[in-house]
Amino acid sequence: MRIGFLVGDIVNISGGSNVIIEHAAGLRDRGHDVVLIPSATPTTPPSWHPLLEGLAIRPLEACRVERFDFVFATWWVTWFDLHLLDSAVYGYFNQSYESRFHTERHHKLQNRATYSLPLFFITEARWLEEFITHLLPQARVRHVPNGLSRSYFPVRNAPTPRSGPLKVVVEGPWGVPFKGVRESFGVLEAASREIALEVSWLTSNAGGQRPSVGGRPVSVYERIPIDQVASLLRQHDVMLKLSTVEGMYGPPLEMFSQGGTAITTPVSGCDEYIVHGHNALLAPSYDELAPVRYLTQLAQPTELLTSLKRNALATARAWPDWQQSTRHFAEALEEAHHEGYTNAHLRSALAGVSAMRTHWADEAWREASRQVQPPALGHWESLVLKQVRALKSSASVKTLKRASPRLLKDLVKLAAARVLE
Amino acid sequence: MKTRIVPGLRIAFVGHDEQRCSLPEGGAWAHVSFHSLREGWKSALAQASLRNPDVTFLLLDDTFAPTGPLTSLGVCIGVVGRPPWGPNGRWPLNVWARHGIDGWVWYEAPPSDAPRVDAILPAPVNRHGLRLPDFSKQLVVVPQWAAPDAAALELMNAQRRLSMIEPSLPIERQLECLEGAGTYLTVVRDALGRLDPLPLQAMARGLLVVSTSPFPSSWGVEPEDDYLLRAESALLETVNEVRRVPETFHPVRLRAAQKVAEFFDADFVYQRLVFDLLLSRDAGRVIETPRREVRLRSVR
Repeated sequence: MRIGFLVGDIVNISGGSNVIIEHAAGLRDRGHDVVLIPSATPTTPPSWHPLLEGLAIRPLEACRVERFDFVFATWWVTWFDLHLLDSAVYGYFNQSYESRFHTERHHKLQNRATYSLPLFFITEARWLEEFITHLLPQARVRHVPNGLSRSYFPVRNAPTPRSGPLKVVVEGPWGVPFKGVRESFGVLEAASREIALEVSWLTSNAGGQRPSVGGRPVSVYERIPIDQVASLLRQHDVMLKLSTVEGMYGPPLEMFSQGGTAITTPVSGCDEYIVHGHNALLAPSYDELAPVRYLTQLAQPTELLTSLKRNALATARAWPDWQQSTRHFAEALEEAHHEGYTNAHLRSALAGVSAMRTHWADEAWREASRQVQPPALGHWESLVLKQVRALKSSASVKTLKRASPRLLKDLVKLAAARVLE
Repeated sequence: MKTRIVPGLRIAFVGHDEQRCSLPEGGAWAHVSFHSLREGWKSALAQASLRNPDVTFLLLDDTFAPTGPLTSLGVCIGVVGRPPWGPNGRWPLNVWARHGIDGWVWYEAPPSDAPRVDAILPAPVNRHGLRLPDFSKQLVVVPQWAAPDAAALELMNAQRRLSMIEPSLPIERQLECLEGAGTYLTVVRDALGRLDPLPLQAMARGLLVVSTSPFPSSWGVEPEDDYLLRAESALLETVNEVRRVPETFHPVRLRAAQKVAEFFDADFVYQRLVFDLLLSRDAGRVIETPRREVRLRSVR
């Protein structure tokens, strides 16, 4: 089968891209013809994920002449490019309700439009499966849980016993507020007044930040290749991840595989594998005291940390690897293919919704932004404007204007406008 | 600390009948009992102690006045679910603590002189029996105590049937009003849901909540994704828009119900709280917690 994945940014490290790359490589290994179709062609070949090297990456324009068996939108914006490709099946590999990534209402409304057609949905999270199935009862929806890479995150035999201060790793980029990184460092600062901590930060983008906790600089690990992450996680007892928006996140599970536990939020998708008090601790945002209390408790010489780590490791051990996960993905496609399932008739509807977005909505927002943004003036321009206004309101100019006939004033204005324009 | 599995934890709640909609159902993780204050605190506390509970939550009010030590209630937790002021001034929390209240749960960050606080929790939602949102329901309900002005109401009512929830109705009847509706419209000045359980109850039932004030920022309930935040002057337009293209708002209604399941499910909230309470009191046990089920369709 020929399978295309429309992708957003594959140049930079992201969990969402990792999932697509794993499935794409797995499908290719099963003998399918797989191509990644980025929105913008990367100027340099992406290299952060070892599997990228063996994957076909072609620009959208080149793919428009091809005939696909399946094309999948991934990042929500790529949904609007689906209609540009010729496919028997139009699909949406939906990893989150991405409306929540944006604060602007127009983005949210656009995102909601991506749930307007009964495409072939594959999703990694049960809450999304439920969401899509109830919104679009006619859609074909398959739940394919993400795998845990045994190549990059081989599950350890036993957790490392704790020694010295509690070792905490924060995970997430700085510039994405819903990842809760800033809040995590606030929590650690408060906890550091009560307990000794060693803090690291694993991030795809530190945004130039170099935080400190308790007066000690945090060890920052930025843009670490995926095959080096496990050895870093292994050095820590607990991952602190206070995201408020997730689809089905992987980092706590990766932490589990290396013998650590996590303090995280009851964010959507966490119920896939996190059980409070069993393998991790859940701190809802409304219970502001909880994260510091949990860190303090984990720092005590009690059974709690050992118990959480032991159960976390068992959770990781029982979790499917990417081969199993991709097999489910492939089976969903193969089953549809053998049935002769098609939703090619949706192409014109996809084109219609996309055209609305491209033409009408874009124009409306451009107009709105023109109205709200005053013309930007530099310092010297402002000074000139000020002097012109002062000249216009001076007594001599006012006298001159009063004495001049209207026709003359209009002619002067017209001539001045021509010169200035 | 030893790890011990507690197969049948006993949890007692003492409070007013209208608070039951915010309490857990129990089941796999605990045997939950509720003891009503209809006949006063003394009688309710006596009934609760007969259950020999491991943990007892006292949902405090102005009439709470313990005369002796609170015994046979296990770990005894006072829940301050609203501003702790009554006709006689501020609740004497420190005095009550001396009668045997072991810990405190507040609905918002407490004053600095309050006794040690174990957790901050909004009133959660008992989701037992709730189902996926029924999008065919379109009725707009408005709580009388948080209604738009009369002129706006009249305009809305002229264009679309509204139903008013009266404050005198018992809570079960108020919840029944929500069951039959599709939109919950509320005009509030305070943070939404802070002192009123109905907005979260409405979200749990898959209603589109339209409000003039946001939820407290720490609750993680997002405007536009989980509910709509509108100026009072835009409510009529919003109601009309919902009537004209209801499908556009189905994702919001569905996410609302999911959000409550994820964050404000009473069983999740109290299970977590009980685990933490027993852990922090070093009661010699780490409770074996069952996997939580947050999917809506499985709640029956």
